[in-house]
Amino acid sequence: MTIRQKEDLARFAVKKDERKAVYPGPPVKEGGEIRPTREQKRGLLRPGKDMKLSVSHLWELDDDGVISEGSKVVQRRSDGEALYGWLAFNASDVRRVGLGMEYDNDPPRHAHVVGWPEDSGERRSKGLNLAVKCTPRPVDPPVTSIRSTAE
Amino acid sequence: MVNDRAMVWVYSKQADHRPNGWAEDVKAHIRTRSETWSDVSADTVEHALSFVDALPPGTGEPNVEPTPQGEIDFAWDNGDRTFGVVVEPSGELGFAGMYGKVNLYGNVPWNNKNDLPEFVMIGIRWVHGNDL
Repeated sequence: MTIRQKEDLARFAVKKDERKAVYPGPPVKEGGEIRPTREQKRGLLRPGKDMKLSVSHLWELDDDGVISEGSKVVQRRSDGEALYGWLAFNASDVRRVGLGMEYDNDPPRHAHVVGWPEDSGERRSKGLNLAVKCTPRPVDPPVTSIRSTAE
Repeated sequence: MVNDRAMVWVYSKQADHRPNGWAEDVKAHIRTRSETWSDVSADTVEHALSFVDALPPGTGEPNVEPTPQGEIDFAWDNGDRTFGVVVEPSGELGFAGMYGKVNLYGNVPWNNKNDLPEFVMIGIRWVHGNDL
């Protein structure tokens, strides 16, 4: 299965130190707006040790559906703390910066951004360019998932 | 795009190598936090500490984070201008910045730990508005 160019993707912020990528802080002035910088967003867009960036495919999900999907990611990740929000982008953004998509649907809706360069400078540059195309979607207050302790 | 491993011009402002006021705090932060950075080797930490010492006076305090690839990432964020340097386990430096829509990136070897490669200096000057 391939992802159509316009299909929406999300990279969820599920740790406290990832929150700045979607919500850097309250506005200083009333009516003001603080948006994450490119550098702050890039921090959430680093590929893992396997040189893949895990994202979720949002096909036919409304905002409540995305939050529900993000809560599942919080539960799945061993370091997941709460859902602080997500960076929204789409598959054509990924291709436009010279990266690729792999859709494995394992777990459902899971995909990878792939094609990250080995050279750290070029990899960093692609992260910055992808960050420019991402829209931050903070979840405020953060959604804390209740983990089951029954084994 | 700048990516020429064979071409390294060194910044040779030899007259002024005073440490930045924040340098010792950042080095202490790297030493302390690196104990929990499981992917980062001791060699990488040493390269990163040398990098802090090589930054020219007047450089702003960077944000420092490890990467999953075992590198240490230094970032300067100035709104529309951003620049960062990735210190690799080999001691090589990767760098990337954006200035509006202009991209600068590449990888350069870093053999003389007393000076920074010119491309890295260009990026640091840009993000500081050429005030250095």
